[in-house]
Amino acid sequence: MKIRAMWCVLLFFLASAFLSAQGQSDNSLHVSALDWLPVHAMREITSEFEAETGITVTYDILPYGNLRQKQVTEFVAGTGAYDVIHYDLPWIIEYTSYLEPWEGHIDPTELNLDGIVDPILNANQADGVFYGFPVNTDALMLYYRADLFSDPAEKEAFQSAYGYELAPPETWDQFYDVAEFFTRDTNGDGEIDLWGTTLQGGVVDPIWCEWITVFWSWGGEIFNEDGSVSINSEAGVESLEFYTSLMRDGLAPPDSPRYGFDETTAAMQQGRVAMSINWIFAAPLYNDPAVSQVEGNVGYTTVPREVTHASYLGGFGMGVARDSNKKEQAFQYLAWLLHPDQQRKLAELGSVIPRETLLTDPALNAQYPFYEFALPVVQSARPAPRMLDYARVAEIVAVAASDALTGQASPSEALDRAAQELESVSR
Amino acid sequence: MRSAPSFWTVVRYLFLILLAVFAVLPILWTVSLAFKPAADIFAWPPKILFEPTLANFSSLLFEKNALKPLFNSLLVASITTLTCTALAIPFAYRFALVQNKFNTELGIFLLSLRMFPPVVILIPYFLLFRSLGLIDSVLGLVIVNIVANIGLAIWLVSNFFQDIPIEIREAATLEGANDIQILSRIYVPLALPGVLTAMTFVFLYTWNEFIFALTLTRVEAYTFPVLLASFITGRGVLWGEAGAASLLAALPLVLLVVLIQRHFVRGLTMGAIK
Amino acid sequence: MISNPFRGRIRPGGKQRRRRGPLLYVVTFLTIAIAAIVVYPMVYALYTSALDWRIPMPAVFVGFENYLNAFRDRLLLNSAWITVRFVGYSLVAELLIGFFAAYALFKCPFAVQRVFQLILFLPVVLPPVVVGLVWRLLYSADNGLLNYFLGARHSWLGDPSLVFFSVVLVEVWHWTPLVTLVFLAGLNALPADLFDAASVDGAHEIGILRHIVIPLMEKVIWVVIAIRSIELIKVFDEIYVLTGGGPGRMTEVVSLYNYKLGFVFFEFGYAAAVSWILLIVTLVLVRRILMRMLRSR
Repeated sequence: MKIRAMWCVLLFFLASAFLSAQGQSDNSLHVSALDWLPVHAMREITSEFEAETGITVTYDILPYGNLRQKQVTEFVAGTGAYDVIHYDLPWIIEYTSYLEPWEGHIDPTELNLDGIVDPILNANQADGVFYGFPVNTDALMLYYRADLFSDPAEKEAFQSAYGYELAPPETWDQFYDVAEFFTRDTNGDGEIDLWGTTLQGGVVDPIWCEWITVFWSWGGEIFNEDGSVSINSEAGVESLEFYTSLMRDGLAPPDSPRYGFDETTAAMQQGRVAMSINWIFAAPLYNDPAVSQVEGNVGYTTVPREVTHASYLGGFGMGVARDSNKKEQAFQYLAWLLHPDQQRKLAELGSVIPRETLLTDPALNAQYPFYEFALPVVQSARPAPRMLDYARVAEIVAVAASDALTGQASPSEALDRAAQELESVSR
Repeated sequence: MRSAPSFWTVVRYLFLILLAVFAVLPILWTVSLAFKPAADIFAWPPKILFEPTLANFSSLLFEKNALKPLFNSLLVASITTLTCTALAIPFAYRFALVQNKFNTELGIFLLSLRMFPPVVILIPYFLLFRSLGLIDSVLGLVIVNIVANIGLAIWLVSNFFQDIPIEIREAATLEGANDIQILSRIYVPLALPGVLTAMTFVFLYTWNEFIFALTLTRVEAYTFPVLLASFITGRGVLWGEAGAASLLAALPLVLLVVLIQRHFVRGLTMGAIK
Repeated sequence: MISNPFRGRIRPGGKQRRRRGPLLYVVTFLTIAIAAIVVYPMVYALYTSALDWRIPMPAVFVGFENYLNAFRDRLLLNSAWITVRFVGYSLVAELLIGFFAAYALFKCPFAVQRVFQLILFLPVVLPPVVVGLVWRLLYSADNGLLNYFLGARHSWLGDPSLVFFSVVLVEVWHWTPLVTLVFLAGLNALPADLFDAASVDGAHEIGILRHIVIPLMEKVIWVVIAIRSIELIKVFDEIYVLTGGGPGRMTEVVSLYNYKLGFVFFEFGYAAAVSWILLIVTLVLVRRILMRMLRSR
């Protein structure tokens, strides 16, 4: 009886092996993409492409934490599994080894690139060679509770306490004042339930993007022109000291060192903070009555400056994998996506397309009021350092900022250590 | 005539109840997540009473297409468990009969397979599977999981086999039985708790296995934990769906445990103690 | 129960020919197959560890350099220390709570024991990813249940003085039930007359526990220590979801650091070396425990 059982098992084994070996090869384009609204929008309109050309497109959706890992693993193994790669802009330098340059495959005039915002266009190329197509854009903005800011009682109290008019802060000093002003116990139970601001303190990407923006606005640079490390310059220490003071003085929710995008967005949605530095992408989420309690009350402006205004340029691009065996179809698909008609449809579906024509379009502006600020912010935003070891750099800086934020090290200690670690990173 | 419970008895029960509550509360919370509408999940103070909804489940099953990874998990876990057990038995038998230095070392080596951090085995297996065409296949996952669990299975079963007096085997051999017959008709039935224990552990570990499934599969053979991880989206964690998925993920295991509970607990230690 | 499985030939006594039987061949074949599939990745990993291979640059043979660098790697030493503390605290907590819970259960009637066995299984059965996610929500300073019950607003996962405790707590919550069940089974298997003394009062009981019960349970205890140590040293899923190694690097255990090396920085050569170091350390440790366990039979 047991022998028969073992034979059954073996048969089962072989059968499933046989079955799973099927369906390995097919003729559709495989896209590796992030689980994100702009991607879902692309998926939605792709059926038209399939109908027109007869090429099927399948999306392999992954969360952010696994996206790059999966893609690079496939590259390493040379499987040619993905034809189209959806990537975060900072990865472009690393991905020059994996993506196929446009030259020779597609006529630039077919691409309808005019009107695409320059920083994005630049971010998708390396050494003058284009590797990717811009898909959408994002940048950090300052959101604030417009209702609180325009309330006469608040304005009066602020004026008498600080000596100037309450308004969305232009400089970091003003930012601190406003944050301090609004951190309070609103329902008299002895516990603070409104904080001045959020801090996206999560390691790696949240705090990396947010603090680097502060750092840049102080005029700081991670690396000097000659390649030496200057993260622990005066600008670095001062900006980190300021950033830390927000946490230390209790102006941000206690869990801030853990905050990522969702927690930060939720904090504003639930009316727990007066200001929040967050991505353009958060804007529609604040006005969705299903999840937000502050709809209609959120204003936006640029991130405060110390020396200059800065913002971290986010956004994704799409390229064709070098080891794909359906390159022409892949380029065809991407060119189709870049066509103004499709771009408009994607914008209507909620994707923030980096085209000037769309960002200034009246109909879209009516649908998405934050477009008004999106264009100037994106035009002046800075991309992440363009280098091969981007992941290492981000991690080192993020850890340093986090250490300072949680009081495990002083800002200068943390940055000195980071500078040391950055020395050994290849540039 | 029952005297009032002694002080220590009360303390004991209090302690146990506290532990039970502590053990169960997070699980109840997870269950509640599965039925909570999205807005309530982030409410403060945390909402204990709310209007239940099945939206999370329907989103899970229809939008996220959860049936496929669920089925894949079931398939991979079952095949792995059966094959692992089938393989473990002959090995365990050999270990039980022949106790020498080599076998002890081999046993420790097999057990040590569990110690290897998955991270580095990932790439070699990936490359191996790629050349064999096993990427994104159930068979590939099964092989990896068998390798990861075979050591534990062998060890558990052989602990039991070692407890079976050698005389029984000698008697059976005297009557001319060959090894396979001895195994199937004597050893396995006698060591059933151990065998079932091994099967449960293998099933548990394979069902929950994450890293290999994530890297070695794509769209055809991905398993349930991979789906769960995908709930950490760019827009935040989909707590509602994660709760619903967790329920579904835990269900087969709970059933399995309930079914073989009697054997299982005995199995965990019968081999370990005399 | 033992039916005669034989097919007809009866050999009475006398010189018995050792029937090698098909089993030996099966085992040999299986050994070779498993060895191939198992040894191959380990050998490949060993080979990789001798390379300086950072994707996407080509690999360069460097011999022992990765291993030498490992000993000077501040981050590796940091994660090793964190792992040691994590394993230590968790193991001690699991053993203590597990044993006392098992003992408390042991004195209860069987029906109660069965009920508890079922309840205690639930945390064990949840996938680690789920455990991480759920506790992350419970720990939230914004809307977590834990803070609600305590009437506080602590950042369990963001406050450096609390995060280690929080992470250990989750691990203990996840696996102590298993320890409890194993100990309970062990206790139940002890000879019944040990506890017959009707006049067992408090002090006497502690004596019995210390001098009789625990020595008898020694093997079970070593088994638990062995199994849990292996899993604790390797721990990844829960911590990855709970803290991702943060804040800063406070909870970056070795497997997390290794993962980062391999799949965030894609330094395969060095990652392979670190893995081999981890493997050897674990092997040595577990060997010692297993030897102890075998000796106490």
